[in-house]
Amino acid sequence: MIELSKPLVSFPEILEYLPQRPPMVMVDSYYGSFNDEAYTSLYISRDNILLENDELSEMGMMDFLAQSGIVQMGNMTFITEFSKESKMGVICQFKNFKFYSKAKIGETIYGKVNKTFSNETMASLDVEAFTESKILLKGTINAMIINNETDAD
Amino acid sequence: MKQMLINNFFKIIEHTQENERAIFIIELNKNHPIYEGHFPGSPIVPGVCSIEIMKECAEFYLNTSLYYDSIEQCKFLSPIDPVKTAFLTISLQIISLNENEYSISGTILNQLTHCVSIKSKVKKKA
Repeated sequence: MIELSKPLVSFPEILEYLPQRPPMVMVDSYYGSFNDEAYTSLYISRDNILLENDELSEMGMMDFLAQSGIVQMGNMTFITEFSKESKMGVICQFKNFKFYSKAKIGETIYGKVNKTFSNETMASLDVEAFTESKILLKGTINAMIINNETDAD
Repeated sequence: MKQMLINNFFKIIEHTQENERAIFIIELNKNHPIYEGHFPGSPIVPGVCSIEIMKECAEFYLNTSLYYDSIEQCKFLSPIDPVKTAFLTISLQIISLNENEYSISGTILNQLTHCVSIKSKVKKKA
């Protein structure tokens, strides 16, 4: 089981796994991966740019899950690849997203990313956003894996 | 009706009806702070903002506040650079399912290029 109280990577180190930069960083912790399932979180602060009526908006929740997927794909690639290439996931499709609830300023939302398929160029991820008491959003993300930067050596 | 992006991230320049589709010409604000982080030096309209733009155009058309119930599918086909592309066309087919629900199918086009397509269901806010 993943211990959600002890992130493996937190802000600002998590920026190494994301192309986004503030104010568009929507993941602040990564808890690790177990059997292709990874967990992330975001503390909803008052200055989050994707707030609506003191809640994280639909946009914010979707971007949280998209960035959670990118972090997981980046981590997966860094661990398994023996080349010096840096790779990044690019989201190309949201599928079967169902919205259940929202979270407010001061709450922490968690993301669960379950890799259901991947090869060298594509991945499919079942994703879910939740708090300690409720499910917020579920769906599937399809992404392409691209070379972000290649070491010439 | 207070919306997140309209008249801030984008504005509606023109709205017409063609057969069963609502067509909007919108202008992007390339100076919006979102682009400071998405991405520094290489601004791209976030995919989630594209989804919100389509909902806000539907809100404008229906003159009511909406929220997404579900997104059956949303494809991100081509990135949108707000510096190179000031104007976009939003084409929406909005079908009433009952008093409080609508299906929305739509696309965002940059001239003839399909950038985003969506099939979704929205509900009226209480």
